[in-house]
Amino acid sequence: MSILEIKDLSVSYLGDDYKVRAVDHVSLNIEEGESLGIVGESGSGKSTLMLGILRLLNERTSKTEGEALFRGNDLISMNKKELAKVRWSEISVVFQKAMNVFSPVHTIETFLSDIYKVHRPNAKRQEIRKELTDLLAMVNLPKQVLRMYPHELSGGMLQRTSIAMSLMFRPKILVLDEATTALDVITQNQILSEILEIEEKLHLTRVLITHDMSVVANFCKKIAVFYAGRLMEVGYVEDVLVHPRHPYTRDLVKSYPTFSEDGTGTVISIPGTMIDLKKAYTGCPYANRCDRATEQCRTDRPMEDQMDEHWSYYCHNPLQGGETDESR
Amino acid sequence: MKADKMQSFAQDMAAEQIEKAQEIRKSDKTILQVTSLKKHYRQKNKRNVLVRSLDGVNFELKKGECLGIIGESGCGKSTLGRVLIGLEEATAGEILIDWEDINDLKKKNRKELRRKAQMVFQNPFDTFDNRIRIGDILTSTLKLHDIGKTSKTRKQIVLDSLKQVGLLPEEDFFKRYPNELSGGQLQRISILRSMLLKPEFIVADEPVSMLDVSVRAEVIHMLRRMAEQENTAVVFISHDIATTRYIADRIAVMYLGKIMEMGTANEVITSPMHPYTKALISNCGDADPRHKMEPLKVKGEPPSPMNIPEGCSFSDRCPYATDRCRSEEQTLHDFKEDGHLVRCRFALQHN
Repeated sequence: MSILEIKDLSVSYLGDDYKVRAVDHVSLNIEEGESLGIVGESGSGKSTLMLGILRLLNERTSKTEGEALFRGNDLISMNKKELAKVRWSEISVVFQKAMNVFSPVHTIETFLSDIYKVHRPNAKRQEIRKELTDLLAMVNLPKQVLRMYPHELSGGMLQRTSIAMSLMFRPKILVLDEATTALDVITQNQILSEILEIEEKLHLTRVLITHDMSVVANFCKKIAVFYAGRLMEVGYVEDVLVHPRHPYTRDLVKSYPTFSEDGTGTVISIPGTMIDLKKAYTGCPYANRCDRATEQCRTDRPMEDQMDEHWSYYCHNPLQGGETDESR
Repeated sequence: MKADKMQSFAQDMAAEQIEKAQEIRKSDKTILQVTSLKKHYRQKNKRNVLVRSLDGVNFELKKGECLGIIGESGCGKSTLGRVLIGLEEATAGEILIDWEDINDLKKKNRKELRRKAQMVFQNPFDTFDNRIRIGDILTSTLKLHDIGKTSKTRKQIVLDSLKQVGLLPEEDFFKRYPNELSGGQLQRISILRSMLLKPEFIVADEPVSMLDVSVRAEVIHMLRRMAEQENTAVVFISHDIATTRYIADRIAVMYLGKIMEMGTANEVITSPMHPYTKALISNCGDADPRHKMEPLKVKGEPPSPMNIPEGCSFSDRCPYATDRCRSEEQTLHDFKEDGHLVRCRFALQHN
């Protein structure tokens, strides 16, 4: 059953005399209990998508259109009061810079219990402390952390604390927006495997936004590839990353140096640069850099094509199930 | 009279010896030699706490060689880069660039040092002044170092090099401002600028980590190609192990200010010998879901360089650590006698 259904969602940033369509008519289904990795380069709209859905963007400088149904209720048209109930207790987000999330002049306990009291105003002090201790234990932190200030904790511990914070009300969906990017690989993997365990316990649905494909390949079931605000391909990682249909997915995979056995695997770079989203364009945004582009790619917008129920792509001239090794 | 003759004879002998020594040095291709390099900082309000960012680093670099330096944040890899090109002064130890001490070079003539050692920084958007055209940025470097007699010849040199690295049409790029270029293009200009003086070596500190994945390869390829052409040595500093392996001939793994393991890129990546290197490499995944990674777990997080454990600096997190590891320091040792250096006394047992 899908827990979050994104239908024809667009998010634009409004300038004085221009408009940047950061997310461009995206439709995406997120099933309950699945883990989806959203990948893309900078400016692909991967972060804007989730910010738009949770309406965390400034309404004067941005515009969100379309629908995002959380269990059948549209988050985009919902009133503020209802939305406040969904945020944090149903859908919660962990951001990249954990150090900047916390108040430097308050202890972790003060900071966390303030949040707790907002959502549970009648909670008693002892109840709060017990709840917070349990939360920290969930991410393998000792309860001493409660009495500490943010500057006394390392980056990994702070990121663990902010993950604990996001799990405070046992949300249904956990969004990790580049949450482990700033950490070292060893710490990153430890935290991600901890999240995997918590996920099973709490039956979480996880959305992981990152530019690092290896993290998605190792920690997610499904992957959605974004480019220039549009969804390019979505499906199980074993399908999309191994037999990509969209040329962009193939090129992105080939841009990563890998640990191939002999270490000689060549890395390619995609020629050209991403189109300017301030200007209107027709067709596929990748057409100017794609080796398979035809006249149709420059004029008509590619519509969704399905391989199966879970795997779809947006391309006029898709690859025919070739391996990623198919030469450019 | 006799004494005078003797003296001049002795002088001749000495001069001859020096000449001979210089010849030997010239034929040897070592361009950079670093010996027990240390860089310690003191905190502002805690004067007695020493931050040991570099704690005895030794290595040599040959002409045209690319040495990759990998490690987690706080291991001292960026400090090493800054000390190597003289942006910061070492607390102890010696850096010889082309057999001349870096401090002598600095005192004598800073410009001379810059002709030998150059740097490429991480963030290309911060490297350039947005109000100065690309052409002026590049020609001013040449002018400062008296390369090319007239402004016309200097412009020609710059145009040729722009063309060579594929920034076409070159006349167009010459006239553009930095904010009109993409990150990948700017980073290529940055590399081009540091290569204009044909330095003996360049230090590239995370040159591609700010760039989009799709343009990283062209920057790496360009760096590699230019270095090969001019026979320039490269110190490539990065936390991205796969990329470093792709470009580097040799790799040094750093942890808390020390080199833990050093060898050819293939050796270090495919058959690491130090427990720390093993853990680090096992934690780097592939984008291919068919090769799932099997990360080795390591206890805790890296201690801060203010508080390095006694003995082996990895001993408090190492699964194999014994009491001896915790009390006695191990040196970099060539166990297999093949140039693969490891700082672990059990390097052979646990393989």
